Amino acid sequence: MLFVGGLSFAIALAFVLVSALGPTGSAGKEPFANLHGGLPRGLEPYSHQLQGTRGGALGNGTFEWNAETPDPAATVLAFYDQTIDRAIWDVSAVGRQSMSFTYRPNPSVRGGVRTVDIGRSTFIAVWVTDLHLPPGFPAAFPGGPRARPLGQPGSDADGYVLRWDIDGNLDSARFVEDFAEVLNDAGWDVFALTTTGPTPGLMCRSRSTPGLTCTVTTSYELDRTNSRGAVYSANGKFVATVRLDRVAGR
Amino acid sequence: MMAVRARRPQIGLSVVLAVYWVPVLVGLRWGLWAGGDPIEIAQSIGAIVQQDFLELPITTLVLAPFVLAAAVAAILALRQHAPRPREAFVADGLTLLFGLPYLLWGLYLAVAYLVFFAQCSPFRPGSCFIY
Repeated sequence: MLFVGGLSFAIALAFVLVSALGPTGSAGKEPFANLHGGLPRGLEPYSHQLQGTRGGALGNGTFEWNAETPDPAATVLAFYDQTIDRAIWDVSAVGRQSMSFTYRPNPSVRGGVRTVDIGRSTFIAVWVTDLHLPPGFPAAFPGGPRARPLGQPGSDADGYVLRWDIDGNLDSARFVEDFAEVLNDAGWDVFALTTTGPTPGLMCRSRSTPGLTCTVTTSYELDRTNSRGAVYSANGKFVATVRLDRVAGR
Repeated sequence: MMAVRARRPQIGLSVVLAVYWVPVLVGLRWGLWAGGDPIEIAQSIGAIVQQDFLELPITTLVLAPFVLAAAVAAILALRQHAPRPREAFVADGLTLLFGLPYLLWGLYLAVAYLVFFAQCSPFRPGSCFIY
């Protein structure tokens, strides 16, 4: 009996651990999808919400929780600034409409609170995503709204290049608009912003380190490997390419 | 080799039971990540079992061939009329009890997916793909 119990447990444990190493496989997926309605450790649900979701994942290594409140954005952000567990999360910025933080045990995991004024109430999105950032990636650079990493980040002598799947947003123009606000709140000046045309994008510069600049371009990429499998209206996704100059940032 | 052969019923049963451990371990992992207190862990295990149990043959697809092999070996052993230890007989019975529903459910899911993709070809007009 002990032999069967121990061996079956060991097989399952090995399977889960090996699955966790792979890029896919739900058995090993990161536990950001906290399905029972709770937020990741150290983050509170907003106390004065009209309605909220139970939280869920857009994909592997992502978590998002939404709510609506009659309180203004400043009150919401002040609540999170006061209640966030700073032993777990390193708050990098609190701005007018959003705040950004980093998961201390793994700085590759970025998160944030985003607020959107929707008339009489405020929409709240609390999100956490493992962006698979390379070591040394500036902590002050926030993650984008509903951005999921695509492939491995590139780096060269001049900087870092990240590719994000931004299909969780309405379109690439909306992503660029929202990300511009997040960047502005996180201490970056957006000095070029294009939200029209087929490839919306932006350019930004760090206020604290002016030599540190970013370029965000977006495009719609056809997924040629999945041409027969998609159930969506087209076989492709919105992709953002984020280039960050790291020379002046180090 | 002889020891493995002698333990074949127990090893087969272990492989079958392993697939049922998987959602429990994934839930345990989620619970530890979400705080680690017993209530959190129990809720996480409940949530993952509720959400993923029906897709268990898909999430544990890698283990499915081993379950199939264990079930076939158990069937062959149970068909033999030679006297066997009671433990081996019970282990083979439990292997079939837990392994066959898993395999049948996996077969059903495979057929369902095949039918879906056959019906919903993007190149067939009027299929369930939206273009």
